[in-house]
Amino acid sequence: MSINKPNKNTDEIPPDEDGELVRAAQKDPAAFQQLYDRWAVPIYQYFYARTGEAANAEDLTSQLFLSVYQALPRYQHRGTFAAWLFTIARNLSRDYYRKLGREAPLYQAQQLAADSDLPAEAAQREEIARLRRLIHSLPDREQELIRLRYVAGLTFAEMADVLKKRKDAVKKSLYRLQARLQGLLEQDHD
Amino acid sequence: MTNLNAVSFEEKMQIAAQMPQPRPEFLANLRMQLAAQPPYTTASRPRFEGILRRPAWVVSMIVALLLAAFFIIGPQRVWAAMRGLFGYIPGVGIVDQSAPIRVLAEPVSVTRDEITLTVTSATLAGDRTDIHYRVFGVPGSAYPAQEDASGCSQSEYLRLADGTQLTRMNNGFPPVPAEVNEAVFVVPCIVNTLSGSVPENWELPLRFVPAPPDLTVMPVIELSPSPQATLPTSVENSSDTPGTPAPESAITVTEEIETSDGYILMGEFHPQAQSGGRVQQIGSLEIRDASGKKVNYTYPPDILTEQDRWAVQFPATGLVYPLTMSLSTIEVHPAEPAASTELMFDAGPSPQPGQEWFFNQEFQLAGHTLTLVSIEVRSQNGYSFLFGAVPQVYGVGVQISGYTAVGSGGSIGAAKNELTVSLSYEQLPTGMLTVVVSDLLLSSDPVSWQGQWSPATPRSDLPDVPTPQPGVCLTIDSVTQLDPLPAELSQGTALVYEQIDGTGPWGLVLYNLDSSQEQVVTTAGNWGALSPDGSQAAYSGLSNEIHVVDLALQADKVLPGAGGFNLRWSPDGQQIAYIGSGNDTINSVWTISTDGAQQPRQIAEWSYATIVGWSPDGTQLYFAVPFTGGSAWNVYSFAVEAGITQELFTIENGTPKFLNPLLSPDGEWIAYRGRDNSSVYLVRPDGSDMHLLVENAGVVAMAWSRSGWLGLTLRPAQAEQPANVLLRPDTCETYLLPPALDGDLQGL
Repeated sequence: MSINKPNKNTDEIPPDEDGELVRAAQKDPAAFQQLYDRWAVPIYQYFYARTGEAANAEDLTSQLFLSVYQALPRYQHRGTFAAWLFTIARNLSRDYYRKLGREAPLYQAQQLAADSDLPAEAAQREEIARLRRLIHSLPDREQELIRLRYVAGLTFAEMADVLKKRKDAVKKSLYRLQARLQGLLEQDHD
Repeated sequence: MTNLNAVSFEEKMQIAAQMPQPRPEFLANLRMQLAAQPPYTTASRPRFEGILRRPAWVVSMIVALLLAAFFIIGPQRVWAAMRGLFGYIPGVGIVDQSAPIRVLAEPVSVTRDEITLTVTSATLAGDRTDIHYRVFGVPGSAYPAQEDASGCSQSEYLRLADGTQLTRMNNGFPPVPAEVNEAVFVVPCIVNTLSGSVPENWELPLRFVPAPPDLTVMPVIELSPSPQATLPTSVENSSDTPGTPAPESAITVTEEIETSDGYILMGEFHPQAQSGGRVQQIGSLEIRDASGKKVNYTYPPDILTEQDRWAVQFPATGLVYPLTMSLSTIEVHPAEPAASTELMFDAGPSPQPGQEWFFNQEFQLAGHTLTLVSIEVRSQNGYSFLFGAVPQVYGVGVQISGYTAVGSGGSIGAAKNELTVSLSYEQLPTGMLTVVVSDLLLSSDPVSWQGQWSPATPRSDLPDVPTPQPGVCLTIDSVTQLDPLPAELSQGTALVYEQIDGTGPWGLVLYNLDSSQEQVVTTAGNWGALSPDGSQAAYSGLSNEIHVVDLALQADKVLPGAGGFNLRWSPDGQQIAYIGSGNDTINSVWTISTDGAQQPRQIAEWSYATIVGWSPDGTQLYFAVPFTGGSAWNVYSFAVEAGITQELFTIENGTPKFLNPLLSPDGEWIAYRGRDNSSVYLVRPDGSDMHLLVENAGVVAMAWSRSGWLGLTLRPAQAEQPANVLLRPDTCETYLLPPALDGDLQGL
């Protein structure tokens, strides 16, 4: 099976592929599979980033797509399908932690991806590991910026819709966060 | 290092954020599961999804019939016809009832290794399956020791005879086909337990039968469009015209349900940002009737509300329509331009918890004046920063340069003129520190939003004045009519947990009931308990140590070897029962002698227990142990001399959060908080005569007096002020305690 992952982090206006797929799926449930193929991996990886466990990520991914399948006829596409999808994903994550009776932990025991294209040198691995530790020490709202941008691959406009903030504000927040992390990483290195 | 330096930081971020790929077989299985879903139809209903699973021709027929009916018999009767489609079942929620509803034929239990899993109920409707189950006897050692670790979270599922698995979703399980009346309920593991610690892969065979005719199913009346939605009442600089109907930007009511004594309303809230910031709700929904009377409501726990939706339930006797619903919001946005400032302070080589530095140093941040008031060392490797600020400042970011915080928190003072930011570290930063203050967040003035609602059809089945259930002594509406405590009842004392002087630390204060005198017992403890003769108070200190204070001498001693809370004195004052933890148990029942001469004694090994109290002769100690899931507790008695534990009965309607069961001093009644976290029930120690005593009055704390009065702390969700009252259950006499007793009652 081929997985067509959406383009990561482009803020150019792409062709409205989601819109076409959504309209097709609303007319014919069989066409929902294409939406699934397009978004299954980013959704799974977003949940993995939230929960730190493959079993939970699989469970939540299943819940999300079954819910989206049922809700799709009521969805009104206004160019933000990804935002709708990840808004549902955020709600499911919150329910997941509510069910466990506690808040999302700041730290998640995330392992480096086995098929990561991380450079091989130990020093490079060490620097990325330090960056990960810094990311994991961030408050959840800042980690969420990183999850939505770098794990889910959303555009700033889509992130703004998910987070219910202005696009400029999201962009600024992320850039400031990046600058802070970069500073900390260099400081740490020094 | 050179290679990586050539990589941009953006790329490093992408590498650092990489997550594993999902298993191909998982993706393929989910793809097949989706393909096997019943096809949906584009003739959708706006809010209830259950009907989407019905064949398209059924939906088309219903729509056509409704349209025809609308023109032939008029809208009111169409609403009546609509009522048949969706129903509300208390304890289950909203279900599609167009197909016959089925229920569990009988509860099913399986016991393995002294752990019992029971499916107590099942409700099968056209759109979903609701299953309630509970577990008893899981040892505390089966759960992760650390909060940041997690145990099993695999979902339960129903397995049908053909192998189909119906996995739990947000709101129950998928529907069971109408022709299937048997299924196996599979629990792969008990939620949050560690792998291998308790039996796994539980299987319980279930049998389903048609629902009995007396099953309560309340019709859901869908309202569209919502009546009289309005724009905010106090928007500044808005280009919109206040008062213009704008369903997208206000509080709307979308469904109503007639309950036996009132209504459940469901609706949506779509506040629109006026200045592009993030909209944040402040306070809770307020409802008033047309006469201005505040409507006290609860949140129906079985109706799930998604983001921007709400549901409330309230009794409707005596209400004048329309009802007006109000909500307030603020908008939060970052200050521009972004700015930061650095402040220096010397923490010294070995800062200690509680150590505090006062600065009162003003500084500018993004054009706003803030004051660093103080910095305090917190107990858990952290610092707390107190800032004075102008009211429109909503938050600031704080870092200590060169140190990475592992946790953070913040709060805004009630007067909105101070902010607290807390940071915690793996190791406490010491020496000369640079505090970086940045990321100033500002908030707008509050905006009030309103919506109105009147019943679709008038009710003729409600009495003109409220008629409480027999045995109920107090409701939230009757609190305002209570008399103050008469002088002849004002001779005793009350132990109250409160914020000392309204602004100081939290602690225990002993008051005369007429509030003529007060004595601070401790500023560093909670879970107070007065000794039977009233001469001593016990409390749990900040590190869980158990203290006993001689109130006359104000002498405080710690009981050696004991740590815990939920303290109860034995009638002779010689022992205290408490909840503590052992090697393999979490929060189990212990006793200790008050002279400290004997070592603590563990009474029971069940975890998460709560003390009920001692029998009047001191020979029996009662306690309760919760089930996992649901809101049931098993009540036990322990014969102190013989060391024998006996199961007495099960409380089915208690709150799972803080049951606070209390045995009356004469041993006749156990009072406990109900499932709604607001009511109080009485039951005899043998489980008989259970009845409601206080109905939905926001009861958060209780204490019995030695003469049989029950003290209650009331903190209703929508009330401005909490209240403490004394209630005599056998006569329903109830009095207000003086407002000076401004905290939770912990002893009388």
